[in-house]
Amino acid sequence: MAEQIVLAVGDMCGPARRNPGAGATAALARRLIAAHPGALILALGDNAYNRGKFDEYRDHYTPTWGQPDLLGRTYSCPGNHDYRTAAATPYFEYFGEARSGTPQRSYFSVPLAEAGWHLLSLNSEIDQDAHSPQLQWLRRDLAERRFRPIVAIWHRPRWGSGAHRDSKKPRWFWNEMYAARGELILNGHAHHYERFAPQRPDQIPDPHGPRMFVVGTGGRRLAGRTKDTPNSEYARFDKFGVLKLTLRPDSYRWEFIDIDDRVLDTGEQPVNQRGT
Amino acid sequence: MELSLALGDDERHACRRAAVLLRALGNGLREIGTHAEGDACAGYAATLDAIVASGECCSVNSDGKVDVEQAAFVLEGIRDGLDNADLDEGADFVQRDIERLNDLVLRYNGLAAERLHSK
Repeated sequence: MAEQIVLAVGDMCGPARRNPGAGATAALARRLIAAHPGALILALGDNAYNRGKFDEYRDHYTPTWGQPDLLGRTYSCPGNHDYRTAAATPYFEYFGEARSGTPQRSYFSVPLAEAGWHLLSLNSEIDQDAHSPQLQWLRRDLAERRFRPIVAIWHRPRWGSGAHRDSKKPRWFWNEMYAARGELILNGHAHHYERFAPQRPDQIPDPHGPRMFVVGTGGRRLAGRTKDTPNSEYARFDKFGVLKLTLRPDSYRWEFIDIDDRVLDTGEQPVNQRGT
Repeated sequence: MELSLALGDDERHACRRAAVLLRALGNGLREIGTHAEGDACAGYAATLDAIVASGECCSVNSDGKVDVEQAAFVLEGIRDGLDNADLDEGADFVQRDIERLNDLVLRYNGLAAERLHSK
């Protein structure tokens, strides 16, 4: 069956004292890619701490997640730490326009042709309100791809049970994803793993709503639970790891795998039915 | 990159309240002997004070933007602590101010990209 393996994680690299897990998660990704040579990587932002400077990418990202066998298959979205350098310019230069956009146009989409999915990389670190250029582009893009299952990545989660908790800003992305019957939303920012049930933008459970994951487990020091969040189905605050997705034309499967190769959370769901 | 940001009333009040909390925290940290952290919090408070003092339109540079974001992170800890102690109203107030500070940060980021584009 046609399928696309995707490995997703954010908040990876930096000085070892504060980013102790980056080498181990990169090694895990390499083992998974050995088993799935066609796998893609989705870097969910804050890939190189603390300011996303060029020398931080060079000194911390390149030795681990930035090796050619990983970097060459990576798509990314920017995080708040990337924007601690003006307009996140080093971040965009490091990954290149095709894999991250540009400082001026920092959101993009690509087809995941093998599985018939559509990947959106959005920027939660700039304006995303109703009249913003980004949201207008998103509406057009989703209208053009309305017959494909959709996976969207951006850095800052709408909800979370760990550090940073909830953020209202991404509600605009959520509204559009829900209206388009998008399947998956992948975020970082908070340094834990969490899976939510499919839901509406107002947190009413809905089996046809997007399912959201927080995967800030790429290497930055982990943080504990701070609250309980509606529709949170599974959370781990103590394990570095990577989310492995198997995207198929009619379904997706998720596995959260820790750096000791243990699958801690797994499940499968059909994609939403779409008109033709 | 120095940018001029329009500041709404709610944002200005959020900055003022955040500065009050950060200055108090900074003083406390210095008093218990953690001077570097106390100075850092005092620095974030000073940046917020300058933003408030500038009125409806403030000038913020890249370091100032990072100070605002750091201030929001420190407020997250205060919010979580209030919440853990069942001091709900305080936690809700602080949460609202965190959101306003984050609005400022995101607006700075977007303007910085626009400025780059226009060069």
